[in-house]
Amino acid sequence: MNELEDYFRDEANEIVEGLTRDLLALEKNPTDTSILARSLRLAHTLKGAARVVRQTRIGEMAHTIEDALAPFRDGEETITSDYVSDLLRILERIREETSKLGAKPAHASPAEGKGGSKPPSAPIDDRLETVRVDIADMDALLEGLSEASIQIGPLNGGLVALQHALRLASLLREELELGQAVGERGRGTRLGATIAEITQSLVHAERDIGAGLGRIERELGEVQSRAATLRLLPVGAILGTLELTARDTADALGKSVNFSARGGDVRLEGHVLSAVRDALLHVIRNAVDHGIEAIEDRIAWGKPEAGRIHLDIERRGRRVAFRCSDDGRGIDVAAVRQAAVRRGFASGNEELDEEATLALVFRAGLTTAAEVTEISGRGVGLDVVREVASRLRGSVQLSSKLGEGTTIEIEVPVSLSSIPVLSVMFGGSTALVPLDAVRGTRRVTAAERLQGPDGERILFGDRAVPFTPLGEVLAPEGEGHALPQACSAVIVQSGEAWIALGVDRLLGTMEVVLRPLPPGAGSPAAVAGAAFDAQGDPMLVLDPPALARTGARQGGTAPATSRAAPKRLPILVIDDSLTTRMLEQSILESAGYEVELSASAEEGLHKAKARRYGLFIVDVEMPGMNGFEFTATTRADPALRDVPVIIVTSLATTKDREKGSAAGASAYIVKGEFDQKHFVRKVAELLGAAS
Amino acid sequence: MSVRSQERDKPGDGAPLPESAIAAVRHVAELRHAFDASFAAPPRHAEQSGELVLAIRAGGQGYAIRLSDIDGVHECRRVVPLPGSPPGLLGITGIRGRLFAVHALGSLLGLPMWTETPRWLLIAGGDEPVALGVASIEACLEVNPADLLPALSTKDGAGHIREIVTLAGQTRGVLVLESLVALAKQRAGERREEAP
Repeated sequence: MNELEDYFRDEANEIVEGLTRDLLALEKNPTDTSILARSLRLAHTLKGAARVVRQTRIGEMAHTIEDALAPFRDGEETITSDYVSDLLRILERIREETSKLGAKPAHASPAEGKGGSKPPSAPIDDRLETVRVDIADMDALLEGLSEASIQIGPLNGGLVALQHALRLASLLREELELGQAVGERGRGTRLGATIAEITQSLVHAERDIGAGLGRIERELGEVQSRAATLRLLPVGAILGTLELTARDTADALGKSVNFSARGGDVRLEGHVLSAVRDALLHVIRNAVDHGIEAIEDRIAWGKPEAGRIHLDIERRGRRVAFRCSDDGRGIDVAAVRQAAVRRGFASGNEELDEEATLALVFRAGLTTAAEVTEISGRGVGLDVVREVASRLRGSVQLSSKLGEGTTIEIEVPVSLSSIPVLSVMFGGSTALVPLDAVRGTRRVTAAERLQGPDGERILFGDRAVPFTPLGEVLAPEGEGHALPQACSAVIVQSGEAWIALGVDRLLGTMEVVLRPLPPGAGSPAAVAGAAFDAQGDPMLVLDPPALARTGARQGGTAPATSRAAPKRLPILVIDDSLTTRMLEQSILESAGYEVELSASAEEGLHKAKARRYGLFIVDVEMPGMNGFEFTATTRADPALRDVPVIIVTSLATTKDREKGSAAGASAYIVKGEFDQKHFVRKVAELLGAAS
Repeated sequence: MSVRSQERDKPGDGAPLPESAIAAVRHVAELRHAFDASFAAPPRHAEQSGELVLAIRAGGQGYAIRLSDIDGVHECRRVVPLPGSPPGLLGITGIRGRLFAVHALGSLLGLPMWTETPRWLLIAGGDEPVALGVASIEACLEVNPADLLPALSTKDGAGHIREIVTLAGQTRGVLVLESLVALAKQRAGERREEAP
């Protein structure tokens, strides 16, 4: 609790300062309702925070201020100077109360009791454990560190020069030894000794400098990344406060609530986190007060006694989403509409759909609570959430199902955040792929890159994933760096979309601080931001959703058969090889056909009798009935004889081709000579002829 | 402000020089002398000091820039290109742990020879700075503010010149960095209304 009290003391001081400023401003501009609204929110926040740390006196005083300000909100009455003076006096008393926080009473510590004369510990002691550092100072430190790292560069150059000198010295000695054989024996020996000495000395220097440089580089790199993350706090730091708020609010209302959270390891900048915390405190208080039902009601509804509030924190590219859901009664849209009419936000005559009505919940002053409670009901709360979201240039969304619960999602952009990435190399450059979007990596040979009508694909598990060389994504109009024969592919997923990025090689994973692109750099697609390498040079961090969209433009992944079904009849692919089946399926689906698969000719025949197909594509060598037999059987069947057959086989002899033709196949394609364009053309031709 | 540049770009040694090159060498020597002299002169009080001006070359043309208009001069290190960039936006670079978008100054000025590799980056733009790449910095000179004359024509430099100054016998346009930075941001698709 001490730690919480420390946070509270700092927060309360900031709020009291803000309120004092606002009240004084209000005295000068009594009609300015925006100042009044801000003061109300500050008092409301202070009240809530005081409750969390069980500072009831401060809570009551904040409550008094909130109550005292509420009547002026509509601007009908104006606040008087005397009234402001009274409120300022209350603020002064709050200030006195907060200054007492952290000062431990003398009897609190048994150790002090024994010594007798030891002075009671000052509140400052606790605070010595942590320091508040201005972000500008922190940035200056980071800049210095980055500069120090850069300065190592020339030292590395010096080391290379030393190594070169060393090589020259040994060459010289060899030359000298050759000369010795010819003559000048005495002089050569002397020179040889000197050179040996120089060599020895160079060897020492090279070893010491090299090892030292390596150590410094590693250490500096470590310090740099640690210092960079100092600016960032894990979301976990606010979860304790949120949980306490949920519990205390529930206690005060005689309810029972279980709070859970996921994603507390996401790290954000302190000021963003603190604003989001304030908003979430309101969301949680509202959820407990208005959402979660009383225990007896929950039992009557067949719900567990304890209400559930779950907070999900998720990083989405350059944004972080906080999704808070409860399993309470949900929002009664009709009641919100009535409250809106009562407050004059809606006339009652207009048509308000559910979404528009729910959006009203974020309006200042709107409450559906029948009575104003200690916790909420003044209509201050959810408007704070909207205000925080808009201040952080984020968004807030609300969804609710009557009787089942409410979900409020706050999504905020983050300027800095530390993320794990996969570092990849292409064309001499390094790029970073956020690891949470990477589904896997694999080596790909040129033969495994399957050319289709809408671009290349590779197989990843049972998916045919669109394949794009990273160079084409990052330099679409550039000279284009050709991938080596065998390259690596990074398979990235975002939502339903997948893409495989071809890179020269994988360099490994690391944690980096993601920075937004600087002003003047625009918003290039596929780039989420940049991070610095050890030399202080930027590396681009890719944006998985944008990358995946690139893949989706290529035609989506094979299993996604949702592509608009053509009017044409479906195609039946019969092959005992899974890879061939998947390959043919992906090619055909990319071309817009509906495809069904069979692993044997017998199964294929069975399917063919159950549904009408436009085309059969069949392998020859399969266990059981072979492809020639399948073709001949279907040609003999009046119901199937009009459905053309393409034989796709590895049997390439003329005799085999003749067999296919004799069986009645319309086309014969040899796997070894497989060309996707030709294949798709043939399919289109035959389907067109058949339909 | 860190101005690392003094005089940098020396003409090639050895081969006999044609007339025009000799004049250029003489010109550079004059600039260099003035530059050195500005250091050799005893420090003066602020109210007495003139305007410090950088003589630069971008897109094959010589210009002047008031030193007070820029927030820093840095050697151009690695510039990482961005996908789909408009012409002239060379990419991003890191300077003392900060990211900067690098725009070729010659391109912003509409000069055909802007594709030269920049050797120096001028940082300008206040709170939202960008780096402007220039081919060379010829000198840093102190001029009397009275010698900065209003430009009669704004045709040259695509409207980014409001004053002219004569440095070591050569007349140069003094660039307005504010409008150039606004243009850079506009080209990057960030601002539409400010660029001329």
